[in-house]
Amino acid sequence: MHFVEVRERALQRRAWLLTGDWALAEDLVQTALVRSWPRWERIRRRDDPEIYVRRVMVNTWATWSRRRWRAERACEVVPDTAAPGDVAAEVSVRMAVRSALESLTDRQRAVLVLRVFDDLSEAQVAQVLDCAVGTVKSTMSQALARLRDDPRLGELMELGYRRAKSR
Amino acid sequence: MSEMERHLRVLMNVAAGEPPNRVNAEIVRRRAARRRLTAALASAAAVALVGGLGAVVSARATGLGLGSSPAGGSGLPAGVPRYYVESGFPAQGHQSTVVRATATGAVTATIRSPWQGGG
Repeated sequence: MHFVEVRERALQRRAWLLTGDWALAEDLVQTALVRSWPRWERIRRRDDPEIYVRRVMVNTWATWSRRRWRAERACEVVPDTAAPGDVAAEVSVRMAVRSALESLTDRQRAVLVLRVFDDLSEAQVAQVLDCAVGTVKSTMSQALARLRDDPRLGELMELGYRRAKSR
Repeated sequence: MSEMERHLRVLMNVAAGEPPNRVNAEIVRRRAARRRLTAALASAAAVALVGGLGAVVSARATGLGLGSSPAGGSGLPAGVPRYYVESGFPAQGHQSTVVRATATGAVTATIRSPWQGGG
């Protein structure tokens, strides 16, 4: 399956933004692909596979987040490993983004990730989430309003604004 | 896309970073096969369960004679007929045949011949 080889990295990054956990993200991507696998030929003929897999991922995550007991997070490797680059800055951004995304509802997070991270149009987001464009717009504005109130994210964005202005 | 959305996108890209593990097609294929096998086993088990339940229900309905005969569960050993027929003497010139329950001897039906002196 060529799609897996080409898109798995992007799918995992999107899954991380939805779940906030790499082990869960990996599991979510695998589950979405496994669920799409039996219908793959039909998906390829009738639909855009990327849209279909995104939809399965968002729906699967919505189901998991309702059902799963999430007090314990299983992971294959201990996360405390040395990494190259400015680890402190990266970790601080990661923690700020993760906590900001955690403050959103599943629906708001899905809309934000699809609209901002994946750069999909409102119509495409509506297609993935199987809802009206108006719903996407209102959910997006609610999500942005909530993120505006996040102090850590606000600080990081302020830094970004200042950097953009100085350029 | 607004300025806030653009900044958010940059932050999300930095935060998402690099996945620590790769997901490959082989893993997906194996999991899909396992899932198909589990689904097949589950449906086979469901069919067996429904079939078994059906067999039990029909055996109870027919074997124990629930509501299917006037005598109901007679308590007789297998192979013994529930009723027997007794030919009576002609009464007032009519031959009569009596049907009795084997277990109790109770008369369940009397058939009178319409012809005088029997049929």
